[in-house]
Amino acid sequence: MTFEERMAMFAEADLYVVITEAFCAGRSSLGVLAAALEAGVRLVQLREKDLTDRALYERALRFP
Amino acid sequence: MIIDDRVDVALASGADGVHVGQEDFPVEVVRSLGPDLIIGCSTHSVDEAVSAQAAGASYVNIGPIFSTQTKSNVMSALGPAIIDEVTPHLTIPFTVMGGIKASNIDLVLERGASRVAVVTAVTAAEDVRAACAGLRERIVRSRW
Repeated sequence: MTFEERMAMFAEADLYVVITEAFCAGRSSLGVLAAALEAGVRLVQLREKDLTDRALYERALRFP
Repeated sequence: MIIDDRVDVALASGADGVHVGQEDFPVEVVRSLGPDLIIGCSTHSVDEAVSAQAAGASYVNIGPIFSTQTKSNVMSALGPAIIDEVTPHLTIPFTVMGGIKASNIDLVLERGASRVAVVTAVTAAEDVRAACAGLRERIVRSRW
């Protein structure tokens, strides 16, 4: 996407859900992500300080 | 989708953006690495917000508004009045974050926040979908 397209999406966002697996009450971050998307959330942040680079990269690929 | 801090992972994975804090890579460095990325910056004061804007941030986050346990460097809550202090200086969009949930979201909405970041209010909710839908509805309604 172009920068303009990205910012247009950002402009429309309302709830911004920051997902860290440790704060998901024992559920997977991808499960929480799926539920947020079902509710129409269109802006999410993947925030993980403790994953290996590879694990973080692989999780990032699975985020929208 | 925005990734916190890791511009390398954001670029490698095709993320839409990176969010950096005051201790992460400077905004202008991230911009030089990823000219097409949305770059968000966490700010806690007028000075930080103005600096981030000048450095080319796409948006700034203002926070922590209320007290929160989701950061290891626990900062004192700034309170919703920070929104009124910072936003007159901004030409870029802003988000607000820090301990925001259904019981206090009005306090940020009434000060003009229309993009609200949440963590545990949603991610630790028993029904994540319902928690998201409820908060989204409050935000969307406040925009009219």
